[in-house]
Amino acid sequence: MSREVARVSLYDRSMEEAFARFCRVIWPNSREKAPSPARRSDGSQEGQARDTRDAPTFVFVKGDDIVGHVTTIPVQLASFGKIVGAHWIVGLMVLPEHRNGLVGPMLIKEVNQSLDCALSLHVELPVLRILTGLKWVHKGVLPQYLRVLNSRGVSQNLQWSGVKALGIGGDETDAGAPFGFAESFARILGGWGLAAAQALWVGLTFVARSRAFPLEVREEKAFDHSYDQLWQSVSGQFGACVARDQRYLEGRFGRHPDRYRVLGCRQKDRLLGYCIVKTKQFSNDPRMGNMKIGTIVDCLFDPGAPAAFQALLHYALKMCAQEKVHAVLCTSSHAIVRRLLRANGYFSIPGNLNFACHNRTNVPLQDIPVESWHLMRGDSDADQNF
Amino acid sequence: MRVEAVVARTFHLDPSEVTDESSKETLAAWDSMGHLSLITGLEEEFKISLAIADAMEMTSVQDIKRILKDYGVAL
Repeated sequence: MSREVARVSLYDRSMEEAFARFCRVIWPNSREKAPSPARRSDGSQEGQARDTRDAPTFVFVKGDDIVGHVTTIPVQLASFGKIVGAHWIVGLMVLPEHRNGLVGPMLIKEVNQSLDCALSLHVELPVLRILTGLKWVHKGVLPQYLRVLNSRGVSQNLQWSGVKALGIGGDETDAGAPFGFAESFARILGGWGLAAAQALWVGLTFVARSRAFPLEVREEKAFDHSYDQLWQSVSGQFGACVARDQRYLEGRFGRHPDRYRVLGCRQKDRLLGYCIVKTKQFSNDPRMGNMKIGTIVDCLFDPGAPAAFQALLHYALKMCAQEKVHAVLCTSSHAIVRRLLRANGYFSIPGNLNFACHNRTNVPLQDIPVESWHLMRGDSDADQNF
Repeated sequence: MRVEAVVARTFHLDPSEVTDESSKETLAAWDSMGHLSLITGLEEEFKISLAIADAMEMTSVQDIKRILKDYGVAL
């Protein structure tokens, strides 16, 4: 009957060659981007994974080839005092000739059967359709914020869609208008508008930020025991949050000191909060032009005492300005983080990261509103492009 | 006409609209999730369990009928 074997299975070492062929098609220009099981098994992966039982990778095998793939990042989720083992699913990829077919859904079916709690942050709408079709709960799109540091540079580099995203590019009927005068006009107006708004916010929030000055913010080179203490003290204050303890932070960010900069806010030796910042210089990017973007990929502080985060934001901006960053981006779900971002002059821009979850544990994660989750772009390796 | 009935039910069509030529290319709703629903519908209708490779080859009504014959299904 069946001419060729096709099955979904767990990745194992015997599939290395087939997986390499698959990667060459999916990621032809970058071996770095492949969330490879091989990288994970040698310990160089983004942190939490120890072996394939901890971080299963599912592949769709057809004959001798791998035609689809999804891998996972194990995390501990804290939710109102309970700890739940969960997995981010990442790298759902299908060879072009098998897209729009059974491969993607069969991989997610296997995820559903194998994992009690799985989470996803993804941009692509076809992925969302597969997940929701297989009973995942779509919690929404993570809000996103931008703080402009160099308004002239932003207005020169931002592409038309980006101008619209900032809410200064007119209504939908303008979308088909020819570029040229209208675009130039919007760029100029946009640059002035952003500069004026930024100046206004700086003035309005001066008093609030000045309260944070007694706190000491400095760049830190390692995650010491105080990061565990911080996590222990604030973990109960989030509806749901990946356990941001010392071990997690070391695995996720500590292995890449060249990529991430860690800012700690301390009072004497006590850690009150941290945030993690990265910068990226774009080059002829279709959306970003040649902008240099700073991204706050992660943070933790006591939501009931936000002065630490205020001080961290202030320091991060200063650091980014020194590095000639054009704008700072931050994606965050939690209501307090979002409020503080707005209070510090961050504009809301349309988000693109869809958050969805599959849960059959006895902790009702799917019922927790997205603004009570503490999710940021650093979760699920969703900061790769920034 | 049972295959046509399953296809029509899956994609919310009138059975008269479904022919042997109906396929992934001609039916907009026949995407990845639609395909999975169709396979589930066929397995329930004919009380069979399809091999994944066979399910992947079912990309038109004609293909479905050809493969179902291999499973001993009387059409």
